[in-house]
Amino acid sequence: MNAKIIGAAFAVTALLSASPALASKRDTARTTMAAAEAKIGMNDKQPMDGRAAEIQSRASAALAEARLQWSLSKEDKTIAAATEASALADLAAATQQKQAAQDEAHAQETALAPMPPAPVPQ
Amino acid sequence: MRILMTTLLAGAAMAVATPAFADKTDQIVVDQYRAKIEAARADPLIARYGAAQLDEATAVLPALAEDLDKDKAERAKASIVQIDSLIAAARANAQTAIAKDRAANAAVANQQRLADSQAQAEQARADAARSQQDAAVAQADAAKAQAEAEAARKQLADLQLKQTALGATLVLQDVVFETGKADLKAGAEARLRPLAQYLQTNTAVKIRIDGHTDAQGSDASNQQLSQARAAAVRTALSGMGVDGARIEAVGHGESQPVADNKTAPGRQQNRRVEITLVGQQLGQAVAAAPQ
Repeated sequence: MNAKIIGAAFAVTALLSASPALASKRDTARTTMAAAEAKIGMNDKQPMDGRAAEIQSRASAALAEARLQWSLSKEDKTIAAATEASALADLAAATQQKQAAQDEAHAQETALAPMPPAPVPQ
Repeated sequence: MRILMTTLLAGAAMAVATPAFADKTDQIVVDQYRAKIEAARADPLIARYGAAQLDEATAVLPALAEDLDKDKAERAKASIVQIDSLIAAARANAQTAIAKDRAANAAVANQQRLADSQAQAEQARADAARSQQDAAVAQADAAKAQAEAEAARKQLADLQLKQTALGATLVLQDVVFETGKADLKAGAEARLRPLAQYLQTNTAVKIRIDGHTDAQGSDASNQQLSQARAAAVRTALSGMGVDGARIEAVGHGESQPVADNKTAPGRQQNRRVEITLVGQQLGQAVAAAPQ
């Protein structure tokens, strides 16, 4: 009997001592996922094309995986997928910026066409 | 028995070696990713514009090592994706900077070209305006010259030229000279000016000036007076820009009268200077007057 009580007490103590760690990991998973959601959401507000759109699509898929793992209470996998989603969202944004800058450079360079002659008063 | 012993020993050795082998493999993977980060950092542009991403990727390496060590495949994969993404983002940032630099340079060049074109257009407009002004001045000059030529032509026609065997001849009566003198009267030059303009326009035409007197006075003095008057006309024409080499001046005294020296009107007709456009026909001379 005493042994059972002692065993139960140990179990409760172990559970109590584990809970903060568990809560902390779940918080980390939630915040990591929230950060990824925010980045992907921000990317979705601006038009993306080409390589940036592909990476954004991968980020969205990773976020969906994170949400699935979250629903299964698998925090480690949630953190892993959300981390991946977040990194890919950052890369999508950087790639889109690069594309926009390259498009702008191309536009400026192709604008170097000869200008029409100025009208001469008759 | 011997085979069994060998198998057991091999099994035992494998059991002992596997974790070490795994550790080595993990370390190789981590080292590979560290090398990837450093390779990216070796590019000065990536090091400059992607420093934050490369630092962040470096910071993920311990987590990757730990995840590999603990066989946390999903987390290790996430760390790898994170590192790869950060390196790629660092490259993208560098390429963005390069593209922005290109765009800025092209924009400056475009601005310069625009400014140059505007300056050229302005210059062209100024040139056109100046040309128009010059054209207007030239047109006015031409109109003036034409009017002067027309006036000269009219005056030349009014000079009452007559056709002689030598050419078209203009007769200046003695009214253009002071009595008994060779000096041209004031206003006499106005009568010679159309002739001078004609000669300036028709540079091939030569002229001959013949001075004549009436029969009053001695032959010698009349000869001298006629020569002096012919010379005075030549001097006047030269003063108006006609080359003296084109002018021949001859005095005839009283030897070639055109009227009766016994009457006053006859003598007046005989006192004269004839200017002949050598070889020119009357109509030709008037038509060739400055246009």
